[in-house]
Amino acid sequence: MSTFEWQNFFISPLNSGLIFGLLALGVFIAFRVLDIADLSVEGLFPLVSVFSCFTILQGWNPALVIVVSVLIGAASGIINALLSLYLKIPPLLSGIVMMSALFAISIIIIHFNGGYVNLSNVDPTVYSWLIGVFKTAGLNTFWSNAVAKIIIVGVIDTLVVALVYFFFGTEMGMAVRAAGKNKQMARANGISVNQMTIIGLAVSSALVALAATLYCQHTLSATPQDGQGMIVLGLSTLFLGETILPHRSFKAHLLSVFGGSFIYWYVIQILFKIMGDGDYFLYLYKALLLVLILAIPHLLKIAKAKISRRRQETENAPVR
Amino acid sequence: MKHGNKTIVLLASLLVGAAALSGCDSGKTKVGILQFGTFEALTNAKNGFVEALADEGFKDGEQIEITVKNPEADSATNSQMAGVLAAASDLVYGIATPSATALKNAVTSAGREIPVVFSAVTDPVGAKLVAALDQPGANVTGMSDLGPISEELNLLAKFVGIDKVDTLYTSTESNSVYQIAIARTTIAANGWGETDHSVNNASEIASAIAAVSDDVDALFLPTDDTIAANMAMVKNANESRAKPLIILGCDVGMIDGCVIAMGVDYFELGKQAGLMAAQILTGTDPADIPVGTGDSSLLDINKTWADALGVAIPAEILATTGAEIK
Amino acid sequence: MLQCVNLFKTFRLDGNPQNDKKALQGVDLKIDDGDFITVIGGNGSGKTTLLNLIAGVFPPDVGHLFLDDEEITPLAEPKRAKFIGRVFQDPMQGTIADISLFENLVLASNRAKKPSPFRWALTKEKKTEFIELLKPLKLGLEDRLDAKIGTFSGGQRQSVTLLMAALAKPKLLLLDEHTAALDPKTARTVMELTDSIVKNDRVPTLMITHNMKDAIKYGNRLIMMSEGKIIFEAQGKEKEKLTVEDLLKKFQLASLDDVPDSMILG
Repeated sequence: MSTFEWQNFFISPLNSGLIFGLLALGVFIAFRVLDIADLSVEGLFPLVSVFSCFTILQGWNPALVIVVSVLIGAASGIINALLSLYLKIPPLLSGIVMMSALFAISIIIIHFNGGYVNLSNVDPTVYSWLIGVFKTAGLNTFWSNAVAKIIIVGVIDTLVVALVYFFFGTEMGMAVRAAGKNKQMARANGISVNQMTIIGLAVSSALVALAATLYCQHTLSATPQDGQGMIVLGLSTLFLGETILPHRSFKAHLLSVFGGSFIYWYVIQILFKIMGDGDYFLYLYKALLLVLILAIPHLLKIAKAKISRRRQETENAPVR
Repeated sequence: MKHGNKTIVLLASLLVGAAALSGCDSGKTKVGILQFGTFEALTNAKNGFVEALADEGFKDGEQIEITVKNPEADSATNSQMAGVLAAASDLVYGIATPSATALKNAVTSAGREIPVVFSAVTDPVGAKLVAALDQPGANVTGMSDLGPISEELNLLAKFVGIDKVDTLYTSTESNSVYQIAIARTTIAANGWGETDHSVNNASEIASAIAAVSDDVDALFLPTDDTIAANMAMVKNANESRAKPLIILGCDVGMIDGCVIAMGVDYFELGKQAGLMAAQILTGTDPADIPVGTGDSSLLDINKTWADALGVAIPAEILATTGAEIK
Repeated sequence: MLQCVNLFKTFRLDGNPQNDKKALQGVDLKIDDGDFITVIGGNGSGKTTLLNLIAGVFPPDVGHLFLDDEEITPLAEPKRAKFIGRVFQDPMQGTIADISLFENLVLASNRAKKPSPFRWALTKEKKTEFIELLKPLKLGLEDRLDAKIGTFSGGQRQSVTLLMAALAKPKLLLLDEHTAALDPKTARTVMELTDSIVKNDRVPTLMITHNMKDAIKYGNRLIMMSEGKIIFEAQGKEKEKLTVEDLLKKFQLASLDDVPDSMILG
């Protein structure tokens, strides 16, 4: 492999892992903490990414774009919760309704802009300034891009994880967790389940929006189709992380979700390398490889149990 | 060691192993192809490209090594694959706007400046692939699949009794959106009434066509991957109508469900892109190769179906030189 | 001091009004400070509905509820939870299995407050406080504060739920057959814990039990319900002198059909 290939092999999944770790975190809060199957992600992701590119093309400051994107995410989560809590629409359905509505808005924005919201090399993104700094310092294009993106997303990720961890240890955060896990117990302990669910979904969707805006500024393009498969991606990284990494405490659980994102993207990268040319079985191989990875801990456990049982038998064998 | 750690060690060794597996450099020029999804049009564009390269002396496995990747229309996979190809190839070819865009951005951020050729992109300037059609200006050039939309719609003027024209497209396809804008201008210029319908996916095609009101005479279809892949549905839906529509398509591959198809042959488009790639590999600077459009004199007429529908095609059109009558 | 005035509650089970379940048909009850009331009755006599009405799970069709002379009838369950503690029959219901004992206790201790996103809830002070709280129980729970509740036995979970219910110093304690799902030995332990909490914290308590012996042994008042009404009451000395046979006779007098075996076997 050439230098470029090595660089791409290690850095590309790192970038994706960092960005999609936020998606996994958002999905984690909805699916695990709140116990809500939130499908709005498939519509929220493309809306925020199209919105972000569109506004950058209009000249907005990228940092402002990020802030507004997060607010859009929070709003989406709140509306989603209101639909299911007060209009009594089943949560699964309200997520689908949000997905369709947000998807439709992303299409409208695209049409309004003539079919594309692609960014050119000179359009400013949240990464541009730092990339410029490194380039002036003499670093080559690849490393300027790579290091700048890793630093920026890494810092954002660290802040987010710290904030999320802190939040869920506060009185309100604990109340949100209770509302998700045992509604009756929560009510009997003075918690307004409805209010806490709204707050929880707002946080979850805000994280998804953050991932979307960082992603489109990284790829410099956005289409309404970006949302396809995002739920599956989020859940895959979530389950992958939980299965492989320890997650006894809440803190460990948060980290394992992120870890799952990294594992997922490196696995895909390996797959691309091993896979033959123009192979159409990509998705099948992905499924098989994921099954293999997820089965490893279980298989190791069985192997360990066998070994220890055999040892016990020899130790306790009756003396003849 | 906890089982989680064991798994990570296993993964890490897989990583290194896979990297090592890639074997030694063969010394051949590497050509990377990123085809956005499995659609007939895009596959034709790929095949044409490979054939043209071979004709110019760049055979796969001999002078060059071709790698094809297909993300099956998944955005995130598309980006990831673009990164891999951009790092590993000496020239890349992106089929359809998302793949071309991803390749261009991947090449730029890798700091490599290798040539990027594209095809099946309707608006390369709007997609920020090139600065201008006649002077691309950088390392990106290719073939636009913008067909002769105005010319084709103007053919309708030769038909008798055209008052209203409808357009149908898939709302998520940027190429289609761009073409519909051009179509609507031409329709208005001809003084016809105009309506439009959009679908999100193939399953909505039948109901969309049924929803076109009875006073509409013709239907215009742009080069649209989803619709092109489902022409049988279009055909059926039109046959079920009280008053069948005169259907115009922009991709000759769509002729099955169209009365007239004028414009793009994706295989030829791919060949043109392949010729460009050959030029670049022999030393031409991509910045000097203007973006091409397909040979737009192609005109296919589906007379058999038109007769079955009871649509009379004016003799003038049938007599067009080079028209292929089915 | 809780006052229930003329409570009625009917449940529509399906579309047919003839199948309506008339759970409560006119119940008046006064619970004074210092009262520990045991409630007995057959299945469907309305005991749990009464408790649910007091807790605010649903509003009464007719009637009012007053706490310390203030009307609480329109208050929703979470708002009432600020001054009412509850233990359910199902050991799984009162606690959250996926989080630790410490976190459960924290939730209960913050019951009376409006949750703030700025106050860290899992403080060291609280932990020390809880250790001191758990030590006297002699169940070893103070060493397992960080263990997930899901790893605790049913009896331990009910003890924890009981503690949680009493933790925020409620004005009223509602116990709904909270030992029914436990084995006799554990049930005994939990009942003794209940008695000590009620006496030490001096919290007015309403306890539904299917165990007639316990109903006589514990508390200063006993009420018997049947078909949505209170049909018999005993207090003080009169209550102490009651026997299980007395109670059974009263049931039969009220022509109660379904006296569960568990009540007779006690």
